[in-house]
Amino acid sequence: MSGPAVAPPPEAERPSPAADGGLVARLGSTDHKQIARTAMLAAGAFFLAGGVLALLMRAELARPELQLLSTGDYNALFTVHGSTMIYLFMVPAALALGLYLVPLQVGAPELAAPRAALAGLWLYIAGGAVIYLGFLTQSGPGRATWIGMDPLSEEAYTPGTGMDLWIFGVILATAGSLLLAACILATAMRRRAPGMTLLRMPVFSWTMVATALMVLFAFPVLIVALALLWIDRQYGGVYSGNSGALTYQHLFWFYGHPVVYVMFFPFVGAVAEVFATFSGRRLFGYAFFVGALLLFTSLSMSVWAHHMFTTGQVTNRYFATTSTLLAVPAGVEYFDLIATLWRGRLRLTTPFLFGLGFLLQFLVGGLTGIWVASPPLDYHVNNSYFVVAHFHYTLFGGSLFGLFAALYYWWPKITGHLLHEGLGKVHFWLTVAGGNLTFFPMFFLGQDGMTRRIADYPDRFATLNLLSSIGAGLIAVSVLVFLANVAVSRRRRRPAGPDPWGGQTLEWATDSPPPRLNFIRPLPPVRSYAPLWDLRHEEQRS
Amino acid sequence: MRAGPIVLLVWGALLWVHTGLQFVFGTNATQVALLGGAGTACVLAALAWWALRAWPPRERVYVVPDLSLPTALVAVGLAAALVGAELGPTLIAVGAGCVAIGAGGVVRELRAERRR
Repeated sequence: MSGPAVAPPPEAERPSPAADGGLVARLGSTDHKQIARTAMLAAGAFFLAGGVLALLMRAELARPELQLLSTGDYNALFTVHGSTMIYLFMVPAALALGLYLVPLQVGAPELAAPRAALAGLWLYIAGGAVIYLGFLTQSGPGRATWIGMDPLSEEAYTPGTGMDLWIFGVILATAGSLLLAACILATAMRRRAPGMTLLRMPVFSWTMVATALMVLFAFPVLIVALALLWIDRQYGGVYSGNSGALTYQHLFWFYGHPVVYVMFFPFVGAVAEVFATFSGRRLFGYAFFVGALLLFTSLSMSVWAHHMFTTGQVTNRYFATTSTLLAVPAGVEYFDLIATLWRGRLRLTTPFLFGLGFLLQFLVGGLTGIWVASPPLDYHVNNSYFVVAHFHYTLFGGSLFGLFAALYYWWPKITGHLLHEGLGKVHFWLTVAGGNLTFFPMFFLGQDGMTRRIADYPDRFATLNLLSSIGAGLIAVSVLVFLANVAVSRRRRRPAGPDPWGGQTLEWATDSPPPRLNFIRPLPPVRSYAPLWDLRHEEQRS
Repeated sequence: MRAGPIVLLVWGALLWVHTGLQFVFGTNATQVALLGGAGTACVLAALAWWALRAWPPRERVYVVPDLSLPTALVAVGLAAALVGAELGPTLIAVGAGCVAIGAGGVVRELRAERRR
């Protein structure tokens, strides 16, 4: 069944009020594109703040016995760094990308429930502000790790207002993410253009659907867990007793593992789009990819207690099995991505390079994930720098590379201008060098017994820690190069046109940036998940 | 528009399958409740969506105003009221006031939308 060309509504051409309005117009806009841009800007600001905290930590760890920071301050830094990168940067950035692109990809003029998305944006920004407000309190910000580890997070061990503000900040940011995800899911399900069946939805939109499902059914558990933690801090009696900490861990990790995939799947979808476009081929095995995605996300909900193997209080064999099973859908997706490149006419643009970086770097994180999914091996490396290296390879090597692939790919659509390719490639290679220099030594540090969350260490770990700190400096330089690229491109204003890359999905059928209601011209008929590819090939044939 | 319920049903069923798998390895009430509860919530959401599917998608989507400052005010007010639980009743009052004013604004917007 082919979908007919769809005429846009009569008011489609009117500009977004944010385009010529002031700050108020930008901050109160119900246009999904403007909401997403504001969310991306906020996420970017939090990324820079979290990065500065990481640099301070790496400065402390550059040599043993430096003690630039007190141990309490160091605890606060890694707590706020982790919280920033997860609650305030990567999750909102992933959702913001979906908020911008899903309505465009499914051919919708508007987001479903844009007011809810606007409220979500403000809850998220308020949450971030509240977490950072902790720095202004006498006790300092939360310092019980990004997971609010119980019993460390109890009033007796982490007294003061800062920890409570951390709890409220995380609750608010998570509630904001929930609203954004609900709007994305509703848009993908209810606002698709005629002809766009579920199995004609672009793969990025599918990954956003899967992401939204995980957000909707895992994030509320975190809100409950933290609300109970606050009550426990005020009145006691919630997480008390022998099983209290275990209960908190169950509730937290039921959120805490799916969130890793919330920060991963949108970028798998983005990289799939990038690979298809820059190899000049359709995505290989689309239906298998979508099936694997649903299996992957559902499995990711059932692996949470592999973070609790060493408690001895969970069914280790079950969680080891489900965690290892994740390799099956992951393998299908990797196979599809690599097969898409096979015999393609590859264009080595910056987004493509970041996509390749994502594929290879995440592989390191994924393979070491199988390692820690095995209880005997996990007992050895639990709470060590091995775990720090593993999750930084998934979140930095995976998600951040995927995010940059997505940013370089869709930047022309969002801003109407192209980023500088040369600076983009410098950014890419610096990120590869910096990322690996920072995080690879941590595998050896962890294997050799260096515990995580410590502000000082024995001399035998000095060389690898120094290398790691130099790498962190390189990452900082790479981020500066990206910011320079943005500044240069804003000044240069090289127009991108509607479709600078030869994209395959509907967002490339409209102007860059798109008008208020997204599409001025009638949409092309939707006969597959790659309607623009179909259109180009029909034209070539005729 | 059956897509939403179908996706939720399939995903909820997968969560139930993973919950069922737990029984092969030995049960733990918390584990079963968490995963089974999520699966059940997902299936219930699918059924609720199915029941509501009679509501057609709104075609005149462009009636939502371009700006909705009251919505932002409601969100900020909610945040302030929540943080007020820690920082003092004054902030709760300010937050509640913002929510009330914002909610009034949203109601006005909704009425105006209906009049168009």
